[in-house]
Amino acid sequence: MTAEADWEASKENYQPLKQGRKASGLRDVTGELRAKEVEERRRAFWEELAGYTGPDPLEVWLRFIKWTQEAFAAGGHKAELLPLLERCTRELQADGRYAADIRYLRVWIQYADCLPDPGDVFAFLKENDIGQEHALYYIAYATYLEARGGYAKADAVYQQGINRLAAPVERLRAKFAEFQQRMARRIQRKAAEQAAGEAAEPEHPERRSLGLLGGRAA
Amino acid sequence: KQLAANLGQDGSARILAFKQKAPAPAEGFENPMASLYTANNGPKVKKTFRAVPQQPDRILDAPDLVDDYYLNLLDWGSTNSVAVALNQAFYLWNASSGDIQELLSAQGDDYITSLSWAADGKHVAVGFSNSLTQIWDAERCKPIRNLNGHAARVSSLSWNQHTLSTGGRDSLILNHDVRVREHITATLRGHEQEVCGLKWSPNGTQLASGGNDNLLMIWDAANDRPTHRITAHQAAVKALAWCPFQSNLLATGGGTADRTIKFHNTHTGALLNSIDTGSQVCSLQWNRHERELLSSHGFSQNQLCLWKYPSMAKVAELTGHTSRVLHLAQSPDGTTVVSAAADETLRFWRVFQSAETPAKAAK
Amino acid sequence: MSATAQATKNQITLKGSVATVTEFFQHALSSILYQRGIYGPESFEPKKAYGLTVMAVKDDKLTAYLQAVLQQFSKWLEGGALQKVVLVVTGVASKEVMERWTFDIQTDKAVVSGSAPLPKKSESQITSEIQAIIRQITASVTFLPLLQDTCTIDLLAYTDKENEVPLDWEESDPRYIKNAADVKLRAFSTKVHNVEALVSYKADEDDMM
Repeated sequence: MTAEADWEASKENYQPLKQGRKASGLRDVTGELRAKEVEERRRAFWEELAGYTGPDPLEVWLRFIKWTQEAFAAGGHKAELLPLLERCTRELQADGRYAADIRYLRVWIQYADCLPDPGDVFAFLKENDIGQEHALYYIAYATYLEARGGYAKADAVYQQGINRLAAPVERLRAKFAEFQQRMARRIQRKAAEQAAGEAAEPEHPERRSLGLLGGRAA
Repeated sequence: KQLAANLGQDGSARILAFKQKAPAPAEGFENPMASLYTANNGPKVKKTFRAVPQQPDRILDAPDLVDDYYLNLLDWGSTNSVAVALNQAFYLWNASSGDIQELLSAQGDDYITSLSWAADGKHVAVGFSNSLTQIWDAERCKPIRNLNGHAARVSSLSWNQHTLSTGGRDSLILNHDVRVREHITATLRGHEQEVCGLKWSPNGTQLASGGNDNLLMIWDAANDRPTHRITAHQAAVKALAWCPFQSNLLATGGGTADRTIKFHNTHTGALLNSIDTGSQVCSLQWNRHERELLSSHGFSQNQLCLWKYPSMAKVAELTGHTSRVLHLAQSPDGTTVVSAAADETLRFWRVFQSAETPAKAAK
Repeated sequence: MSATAQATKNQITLKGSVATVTEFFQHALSSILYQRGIYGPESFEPKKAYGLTVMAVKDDKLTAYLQAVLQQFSKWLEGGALQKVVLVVTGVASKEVMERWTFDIQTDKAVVSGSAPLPKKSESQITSEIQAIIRQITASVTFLPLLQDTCTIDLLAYTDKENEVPLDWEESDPRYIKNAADVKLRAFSTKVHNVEALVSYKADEDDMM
């Protein structure tokens, strides 16, 4: 078995990443979790950030984030990815120069993806005019809304993005069209169900012989 | 030759494309895997068959819990003591009194990879990264027996009276009779990679094992070749749970590339049902009081889901853990489930308690 | 076992090898389409092959499309003319190549021409090698990026120049990915044909929109 194939032995310990991983990051991660070199490397990043005086601090943050995802293949508490994303977004927001930078918006979106409910994040970005001219903002926001059934809101978000000609607008339009097609199918499905006179799923609570039917709150 | 080909300079080949266009996916198509890449919650569970507390009763700190899918680091014993392994030490937390015992066991670079209470609630089997298994006396807090035989870490354990089965990264399952000197009574070969799931059936006649080779094996007590070799899952099979109210019914959960819970008749080997959960399945526990199944998940929602059986309607979704919910164990009275996650916490959920079953008073 | 039976046991004929390789492509391509989420799960059904459960295409149109391609692969393989099979995954809206699954084929030309004796290899060995590749395809979610946009597929074949171009195929450019990352996967060999798998995907995060 070649070294490259050893990743399979720990395949369940790799967090799927939207942007994928490179071959160089693929290895058997078993037992790696307690290495001291990792902590040293992390400290080095914080030091680099603290001492940075150049024109583009975001570039350091991005390297730090990327390293974190690779060093801690499973994500998890020790990765401290969420606090890292939080700090990055917070510290660079005061700066102001990154408001239109798509790299900065991507960090925000990645942060939103780590949360169970990022509604506030999207609202915050809008209020503070961050990333508002990128299609990515509207697509991510609408995707989140659609996933939890907020269809009317998702529709509105797509429209806002298109009206604003958020770039690349062709992708935004394509995504909106797909959303509308899904909506059409949903409406069709609902109409068919209602016509057939059935509820979506019949409710049949399991019945137990001599089970208590009342008298005490469930 | 490969390099030349990649540079497009492979002069000896002609590149042809099939003229016909492949059928387009359905309109408005969404990649079914998208849920794997976000921690965002899905739609709220609408139907409530019964009220399930959405918050844990208690959260305990579990620093250094090893973030590794393949290990089995949590168990709740019959004397109401929760055993959890945190890296090199394991702890016993008495759920009745709240007392904590710390038992240090691994040294150097070794760490604990599995643990399991014996039925008597007095002994704990502990597996290590160095391939050793130890039996500990929980009352006297000392190891009383060493069991060797594996060539790599011992990731899964399951007791069947005086037999302890151990599953290792060496792909073997060993049956040990802990009463005798020559303790290995059987070597079960069949898996090709790490054995991460191992559970004896309640009646002790069948052993279910799951591996990183995506295989589920059912072994009958007397044989050292599997009775059934089930290939249905597309990823590692760690989550295994025997149904308490129907014999020969086994629920299994698949890893990242699979994300399903499947139900098997272990007598015939038939697949009875399969449902897509949208995330990596780490652990399963049946509710003995209601016909329900609880699943815990990793990538990427880190939630616990309670399902009605057999309809597999979702009764409740419990969130709160911020990383993979790797392990589940249930209390002896079957009302409470404890979850251990990569966010280094243990959470106690009174999820199985129904109106008819009052919980034992816990501090 | 008789002497002749002994002599021919595990012998790999050209026809047999072609069938093995073609069947491999059928299952490998199906598995890729399922695992990458290019078509919905309703277009697939589980099927037993190579001692595994593989997700096989169930949709009529897709099956017909793949069958047409596989038939041509078979013909080329028989003539020893097929060098590479490539599955290209392209974003519909962006028209960019997102993923490229390459199967490199090395053929023992002497066996094809009949000038060499038939080689021997046990079927179980070949099956186990194929099993390993299919498992890797299934596990590729470990490192491949999410295909966020609707994609279409194309099949490319690298053939010997001397062969005639069949009617339903046309010359094409290789459809490379800009800034590709590669992961080499396993290989299997029937001793007549050797097939090596590789997947390429976008390495540039700056493209994530």
